[in-house]
Amino acid sequence: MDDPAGNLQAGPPGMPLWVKVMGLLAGIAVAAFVVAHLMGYGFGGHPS
Amino acid sequence: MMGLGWRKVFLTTHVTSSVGWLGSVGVFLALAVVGLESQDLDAARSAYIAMEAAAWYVIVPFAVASLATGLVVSLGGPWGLFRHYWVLIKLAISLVSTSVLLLHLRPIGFMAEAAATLSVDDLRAERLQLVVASAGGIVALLVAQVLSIYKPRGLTPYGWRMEREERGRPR
Repeated sequence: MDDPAGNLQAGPPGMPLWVKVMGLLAGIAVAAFVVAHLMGYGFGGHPS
Repeated sequence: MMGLGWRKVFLTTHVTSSVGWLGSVGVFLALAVVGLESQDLDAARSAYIAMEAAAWYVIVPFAVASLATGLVVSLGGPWGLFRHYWVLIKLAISLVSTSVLLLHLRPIGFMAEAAATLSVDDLRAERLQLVVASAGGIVALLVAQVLSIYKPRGLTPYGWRMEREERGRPR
């Protein structure tokens, strides 16, 4: 067997836990960004 | 696949520009904090003028070089662009970070122009945003660096199919 890293199991791989955690953190960051803009923080469009 | 010599040239350029991008955003953050918190108006005004130059002449070139060489290295090397989650996430981080940077160029220019008449309490929300955006950029770029070094395991479904096809081919 030439798959010592275990990448090639029998079926398609599921998403690793570390990817799910990073996705969750990214989602939280985007939500915080949207909330901050809705609350009027930041440039709010006037210079750009 | 690209030859080893060219791959090393592009990899060296990629690592250099990526680390340079991270360092220059660190400098940008320091200037943004000075601009926000300094009670010395001259220092605050100078910080916003320096930030515009740093953004246009250092950060943007590093970001574009890092993104472009990252694409070349992954597509021309054994890792591929869509085969491994860590490469895919690095690509997403680079794309989002570059987009956020480009979107902030006009506000940065606005602050540099406003610097001449800036008082301590002017444009506090905008100045805070530059601090938060650059701090967020540093976190994102640090995550990308960690992914590059650790290369955590995990094939995408596409990568898994490709590896299976390649294993099934006669050698």
